[in-house]
Amino acid sequence: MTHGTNDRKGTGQTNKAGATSIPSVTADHVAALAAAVGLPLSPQRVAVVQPILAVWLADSAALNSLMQAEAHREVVPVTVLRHTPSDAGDC
Amino acid sequence: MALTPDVLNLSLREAARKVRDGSVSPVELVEASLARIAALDGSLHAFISVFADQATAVAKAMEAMARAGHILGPLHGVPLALKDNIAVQGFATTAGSKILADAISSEDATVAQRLRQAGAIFVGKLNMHEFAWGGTSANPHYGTVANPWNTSRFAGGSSGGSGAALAARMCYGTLGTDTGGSIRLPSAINGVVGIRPTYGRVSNHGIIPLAWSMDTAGPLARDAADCALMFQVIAGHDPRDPASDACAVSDYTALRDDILSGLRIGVIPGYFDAHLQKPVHDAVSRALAQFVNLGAQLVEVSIPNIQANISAQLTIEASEPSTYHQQWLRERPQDYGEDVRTLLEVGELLPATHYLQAQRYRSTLRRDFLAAFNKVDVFICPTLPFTATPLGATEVVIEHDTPEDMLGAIMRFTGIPSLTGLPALSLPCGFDGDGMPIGMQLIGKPFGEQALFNIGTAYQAVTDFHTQSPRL
Repeated sequence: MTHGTNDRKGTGQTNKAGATSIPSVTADHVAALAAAVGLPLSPQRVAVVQPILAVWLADSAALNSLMQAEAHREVVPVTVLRHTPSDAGDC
Repeated sequence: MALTPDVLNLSLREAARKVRDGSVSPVELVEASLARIAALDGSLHAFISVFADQATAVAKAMEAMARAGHILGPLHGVPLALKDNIAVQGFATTAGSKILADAISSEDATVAQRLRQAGAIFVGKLNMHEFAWGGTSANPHYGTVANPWNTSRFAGGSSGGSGAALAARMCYGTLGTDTGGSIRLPSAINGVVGIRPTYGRVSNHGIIPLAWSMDTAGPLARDAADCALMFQVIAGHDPRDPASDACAVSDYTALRDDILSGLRIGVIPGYFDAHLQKPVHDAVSRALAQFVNLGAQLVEVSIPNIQANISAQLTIEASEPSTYHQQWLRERPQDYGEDVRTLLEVGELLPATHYLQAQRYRSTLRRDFLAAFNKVDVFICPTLPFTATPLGATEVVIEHDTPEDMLGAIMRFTGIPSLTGLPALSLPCGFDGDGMPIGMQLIGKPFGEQALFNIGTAYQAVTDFHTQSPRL
């Protein structure tokens, strides 16, 4: 199971936008990342996670390139905070 | 073969009407439902728990109330079932997991409470993909949900039990939840109708989350009118859900089937009609032609960068669940199924910047769809690019004999409403050569569910796909 938007494997690749070269994500990278966030991953788990993470990072890096474009400079994520009238009290 | 008692072939509306006029007893409906579940669930695995004693007791009480002329609401005495990530007071809400196997709920979820107040009788809780994080309902803890149309095929997910139980006539309506397609996928795969509401239209209070910024709950039913009736009951503001919207609720049951003349249907050439299994392409093309024959017009629309929606969807849907599951993933990793554990581990390692770029992409996609709604009334596309795969498959062949990842293929069309927060209705529109159902997806304006139900009702007035049922 690759769990990606295509069937690429986790070897070094150029993203869809063609703008950024993505370094390959190795098992050592995955192990280091997991250690950094306190997620215990055995070598067996690292081997399972590595190819999927490599594909997903490459795909999301392509999205990153898209969203770095000048045309999108002012775009705000959908996670902005909104106050409702009931939150506002007497203001 | 388990013959379907005639009473189970009634629509939800018909069953409710017969209870009201006294021609059918809630006891008869519940007994038929429980017997059907007992006969078929050994092979379908649609239910995680069955509330036989409680449902029977409630049915007797509702029978007495109906005889006395006391009708609780529009669903009085009708057996329904809920996906097992939706809390029902006094029963476990497992979310299809081992981790929550013994988590007894102290109160109803808002949607369960509203259904109960409308008179519904819950016959049980439905099987699902573990924690709703996947589209196959291959559940290592409660069994793999099988498709009633062919039990060697998958029932979709994550609300797989919700789709399968309904198609198998085990009850009259079900509730599911939809983050990336989990109502629409099993609706299409099982040949039933299901709606993902506008984000914020239906309360998520009391539902185990998957991805907060995209989670919704909604009904699955046998036709658009039944779906509208259930939706009427559950829609509306809930102060206990911070994402709930106060926008006024429409009368979704005031259905019109005369709205197709002049209807502007948006299509996106090169995306909506590309990379599909041929039976899916042909069925949706026929449906669009039928809409045109009935007076609608097709309007071609371009949405820039629409193909990026799958990556955005995967990034968000990976990151948010891994946040919710962070403690369990460290303390009880062995209690997850292999696929969900892997997805949660991957989601832990995605950078925050990637997540936020995906959330920025959502803003652009939403902006572009809202602008397009100045030119169209609704978008129509396939719900899925493929029909039901064999049980256990993790890849699907769509074209050119090339296997591809199931998760990305599932999200090709269902991800668009999930990211934009727009409502989307899946309707049956055909069958493939093996007799497996095909669904099409109607995407509406924010809070435009009424238009979707109207269009669905108009389409179902001239087609019979929704009236067909599997031979079991």
